[in-house]
Amino acid sequence: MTVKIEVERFLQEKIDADKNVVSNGTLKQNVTLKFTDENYSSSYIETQWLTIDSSKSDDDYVKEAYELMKDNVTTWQNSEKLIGKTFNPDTGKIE
Amino acid sequence: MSNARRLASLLAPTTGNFTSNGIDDNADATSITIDSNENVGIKQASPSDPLHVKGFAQIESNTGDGNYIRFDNTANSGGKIWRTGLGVYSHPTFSIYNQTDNVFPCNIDTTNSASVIRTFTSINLADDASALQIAEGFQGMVIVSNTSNGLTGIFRIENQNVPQLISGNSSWATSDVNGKLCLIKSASTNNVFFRNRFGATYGFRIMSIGAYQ
Repeated sequence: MTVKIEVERFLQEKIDADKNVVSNGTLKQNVTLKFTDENYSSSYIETQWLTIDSSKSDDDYVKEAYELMKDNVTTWQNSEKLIGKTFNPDTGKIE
Repeated sequence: MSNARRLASLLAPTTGNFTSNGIDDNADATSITIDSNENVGIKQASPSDPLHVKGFAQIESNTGDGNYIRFDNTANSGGKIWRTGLGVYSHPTFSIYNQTDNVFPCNIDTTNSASVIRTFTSINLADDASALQIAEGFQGMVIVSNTSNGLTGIFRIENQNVPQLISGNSSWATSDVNGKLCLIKSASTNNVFFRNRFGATYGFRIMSIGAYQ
């Protein structure tokens, strides 16, 4: 299965502890990634607000965000992989 | 000589029945016209498009297959491939399907002669994920269904005002509120956003019905 990963949002914004976008919050790098899989009729979207560091490249930010999201992506894939499959009671297997 | 003209020249002298491998002509009058621009007319002697059918057209499926028309606009920047027809989502359902993005934005069914129009594409949003734009330059009605929890919120969108919750329980909000399912209207544009702040990752199906503002 091939997961397509698209950058949905990539911007700096000020957020508070509850992840509200506020004018007096802490400036963070918003990295929102959208995951799609041609085998599933759903997508998964998650955002990470990362600590800004001038030494980081855009690639570094996206990679850092992906590392924080990948377990959740696996959870999403596991929740989707059986949708639409047929259970055969004679064989006891999902086909 | 183009293949189309070669075919036309082959067909032109023939009157009455004509058969060849792949062609069985039993017509009493002209049925297919290929003009000098290589446009093909079916019961249309002056075709104005590459394929011009006068009357009816039928697409019949093979057993086990769907029957649909595929529109490919990928020759253009940002162009996508869409399909419309039956058997795309399921055989009884008429679908308008975005093949490029694997999205089913509109499936049409009937249940006891009642119309059922719905989206079958789920968006799974992580808790607190950044607000997702769900409609651009939009005015009308937005229906958000939180399929994970069986909740539905129906909202009215007018100009750049705060959205109005027409129907829905206290789980829904019309601004960005922690702990809620939030439909948010941009204060400066007519773009509509949705944000899941309900405490966990949930699946949503969202449909906007209205006008371009």
